[in-house]
Amino acid sequence: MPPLLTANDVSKNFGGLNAIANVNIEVHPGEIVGLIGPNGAGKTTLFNLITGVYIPSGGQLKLHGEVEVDLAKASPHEIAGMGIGRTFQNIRLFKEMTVLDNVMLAYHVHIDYSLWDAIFHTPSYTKSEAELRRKAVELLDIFDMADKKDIPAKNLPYGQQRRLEIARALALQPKLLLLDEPAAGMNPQETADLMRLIMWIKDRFNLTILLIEHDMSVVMGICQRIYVLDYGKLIAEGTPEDIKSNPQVIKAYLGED
Amino acid sequence: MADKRHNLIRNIMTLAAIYAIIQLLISFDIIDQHLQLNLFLLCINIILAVSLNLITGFTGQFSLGHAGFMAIGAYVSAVMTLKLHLPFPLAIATSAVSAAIVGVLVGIPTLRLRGDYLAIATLGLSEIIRIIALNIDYIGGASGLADIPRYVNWPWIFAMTAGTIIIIYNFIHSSYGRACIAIREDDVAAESMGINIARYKILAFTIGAFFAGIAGSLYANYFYFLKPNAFGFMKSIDILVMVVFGGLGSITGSVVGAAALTLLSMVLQDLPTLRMILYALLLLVIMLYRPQGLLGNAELSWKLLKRGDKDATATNGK
Repeated sequence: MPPLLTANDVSKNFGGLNAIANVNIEVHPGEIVGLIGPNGAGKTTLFNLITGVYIPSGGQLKLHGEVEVDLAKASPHEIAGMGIGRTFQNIRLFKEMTVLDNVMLAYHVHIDYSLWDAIFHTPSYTKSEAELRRKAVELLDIFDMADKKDIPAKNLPYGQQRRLEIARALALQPKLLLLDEPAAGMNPQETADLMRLIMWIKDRFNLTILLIEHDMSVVMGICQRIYVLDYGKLIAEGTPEDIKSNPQVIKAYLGED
Repeated sequence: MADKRHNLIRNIMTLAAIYAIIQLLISFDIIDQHLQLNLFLLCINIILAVSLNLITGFTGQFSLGHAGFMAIGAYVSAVMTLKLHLPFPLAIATSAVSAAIVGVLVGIPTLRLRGDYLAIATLGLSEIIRIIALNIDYIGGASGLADIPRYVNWPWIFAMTAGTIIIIYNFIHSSYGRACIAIREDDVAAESMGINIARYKILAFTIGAFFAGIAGSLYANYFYFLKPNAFGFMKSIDILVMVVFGGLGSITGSVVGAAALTLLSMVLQDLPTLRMILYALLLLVIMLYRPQGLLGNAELSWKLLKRGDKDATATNGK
């Protein structure tokens, strides 16, 4: 099966610092791929390159949908529109907006009424908004948050804020979902729930997932393949079994017992 | 659905009632010339405050140039009616569109700036507009334009004020409005959700400028005469104060803010020095005790009032 996302010899320099150096990655449709490595290894930088926040200093980043897209040439909002959704390491919700509005906002790229309809609240607006609202509530229901739809996002407990970020990214109806440390700060119970949730949404929404995570139970538990970054370089790739026994990874990241 | 229609009917009834009552009061001369002047000024200020709130309160773009857009509207309208003898409806439409066009042209380069930098750029813009007006003899230079035909009456003022509020309210409560608010909340996250930030900043700026142009046109064709210094830095600050006072991100807040500060100015008209002191004190008190403004980002509504009633009855019943 052809890959959905390819990074070919991608580099990113900040001044003299090589945050990412000659990285090659392939993500295939339907996979859950893990991205691990010590702090500062360049994992989030790679996410920012894929989503267009940064422009690569070298190499090619391509999304292979119906047409092939050069991600280096697209802006973040265009990339989001092409079907790459993401969450952030340090939660970035729209804090003053309600939980429901956070999700409804993400449907924006799919709305089918014009500015004119919006200003005059035409029947087409009313119909579209009602439909949007129904879809957003349905999505929140999957995340067990439908009862909190009308409170400001900032008032949610931490774990639910992380889940709302995932729900918001799903509203974009992405093909590829990038999760940046989804389990950070969660207790073991919440982490276990999150793992089940990720598996479930992957099947339900036909997703491909690339995730950064420090919690090895998550990475080893749900990822089919893992890439390991260290100082901006790819030092290993393979199945969880391969990675666990790779001496280089043990030295750089996992640690010896 | 039925609930929505019910609300719509109630809102139309409320608007019609406000219109009719004030029209009656004007007809029977209970609202005299002096009061009417202040009432019209209040409505113009509401248009300015609500439209600035779209830019600053909802989209989060700190603009100090609103008086500049108002000036464009005022001068375009004055020239069209006074010099070219064109009908007022055409003049007001052209004013609004001219201000909006300047809004787009200025928005494209400046909206890359953030916070203080944007404030300085927009302030510079409105000063440029004022100084251009000051130096064109055709529009009267420093002495301004006089004898502008008075076309503005209560129906005009009412329609424009209500129209501004309704259109901006509708915009905010649509996907486009949510996009603007999302930019204010977190522009990086908004962009990653597919929002074209530059486009929506410019859109908000343009709609805001459009209504400021309308306010300018109403001003010119009510007050007979115009001079560039009416649209200086202090006018922009005045509008901003109304918005901050009422609450950034609340449309009804802007209405309340504009009304409160216009009335305060009216009451203290004969004591200009005291007026500025009170003005400053009021702002200090608001900033110290209610920095989010009177209404914060909540809206006054029938529902809220009803809930207030219920709460009151509940407490009374105990």
